[in-house]
Amino acid sequence: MTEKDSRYERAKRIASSKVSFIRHFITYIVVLAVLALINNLTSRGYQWWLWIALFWGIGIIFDFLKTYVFMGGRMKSLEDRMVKREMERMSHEE
Amino acid sequence: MKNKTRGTNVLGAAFALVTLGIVIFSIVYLTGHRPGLRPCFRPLERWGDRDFGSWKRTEEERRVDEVFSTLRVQNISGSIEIRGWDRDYSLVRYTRQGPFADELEVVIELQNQTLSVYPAHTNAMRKPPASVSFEIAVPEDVHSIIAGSVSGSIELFGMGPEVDQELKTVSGRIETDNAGDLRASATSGPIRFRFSGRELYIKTVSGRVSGDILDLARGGTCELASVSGPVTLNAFKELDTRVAFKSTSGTVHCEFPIQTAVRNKNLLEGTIGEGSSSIEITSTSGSISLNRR
Repeated sequence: MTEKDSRYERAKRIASSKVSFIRHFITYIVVLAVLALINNLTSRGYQWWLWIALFWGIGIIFDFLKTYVFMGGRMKSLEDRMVKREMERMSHEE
Repeated sequence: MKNKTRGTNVLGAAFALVTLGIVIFSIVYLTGHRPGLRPCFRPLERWGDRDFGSWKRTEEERRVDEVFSTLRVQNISGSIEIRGWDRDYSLVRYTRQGPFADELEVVIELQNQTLSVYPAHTNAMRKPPASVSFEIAVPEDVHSIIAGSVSGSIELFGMGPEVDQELKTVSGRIETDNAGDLRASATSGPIRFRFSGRELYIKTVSGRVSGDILDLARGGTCELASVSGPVTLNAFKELDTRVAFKSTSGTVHCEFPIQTAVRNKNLLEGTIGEGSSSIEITSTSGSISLNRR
C-alpha cells in the first residue's frame, strides 16, 4: 500500500467517524425529545427520561473524545510529529 | 476545504458541549432532592413560578392538642428541629421534598403518652427518593424527646432543663441548647450541647464534640467517646467529680485543680473536689479538654 493510499484510508476512517458522531448526536436529541414528550404527556411529575439523557450523554462525550481528540485530531497529529521526528533522528544516525 | 473541516470540528465541539450541558443538568435534577445539595443549587430550585423537578416541595402543618410526655421523631433524610414553647399544644410543621414527595406520608400518632412522628411511604413496594424536614414546637416541659435521622441534622432549642433527650444521626449535626439527661450519637457530624442532668452519654466517630456542663448531680455520670473528633467540655466552677481522660494519640488537658493519680500526655486520671460524680472521656486521635467556665 502506498503512502497516498494509507493517508486516504485514514482520512476516510476519520471522516466516517465524524459523520457517525454527528448521526449519534442527532439520534440522541431526537430520542430524548420523544421520551421527554412521553414523560410529560403521561405524567408531569418526575422526569425519568433524564436518567437516559445522563448515561447516554456520557457515552456521547466519550464518542466525541474518541473521534475528535484521539483518532483524527490532536493525538494523531502528535503521533505524526513524533513519527516524523524519530525518522529524522534515524536518518541522522545513518 | 480546510474551512469545511474546521466547520465540522466546530460543529462536533458544539454538539459535545450541548451534550455536556444535558449531562450536568441531569445530574443536578436527579440528585437535587438531597437536602445537603439545596444550598449549592439554590438558583435552580424554581423553574418559572413553580417548584422545579427534584425541588418540588409541599409544606404542611398539623396541630396536636393532646398532652403527651414523650416526643419520638424518626426521620430518614432531612433535618429535625424541635423547639420548646410556653403554649399547651404542639405544632408539627413538615416539608416534603423530592419528585415523589406525594408518595411520602407523614404519620403523627399518639399512643401511651408518646407522640410519634415519622415519614412512611404510601406504597411499601416502591420507596423512591424524597426527604422530609420537620419543625416541631412542643410545650417546653415534656418529659423526654427521642429523635433520630439517617441523613440530616437534629436541633433542639428552648427546652426545659428537666427534659431528657436521646438524639441519634449518622450524617448530620446534633445541637441542643438545654438538656436534662442526654444521649447523643453521630457518626460524622459535630455534637454541641448544654447539659444539666444526671447522665450524659455522647458518642461520635469523626465529629467534633463541644459542650457545657451546667450542673452535675452527686452520683452523676458523663461518658464521652470519640474516634477522631476532638472533645471540649466547659464545666461550672464548683465541679466535683472523678475524671478519667484517655486518648491514644491526642492530647488531654484539664483547667481544674486536680488531685492526680496518673497524668501524662495522653492519660489523665484523678479527682476534682471530693469526686462525687464521674466524667470519662476516651478518644483515639482527638484531643480532650475540660475547661472551667
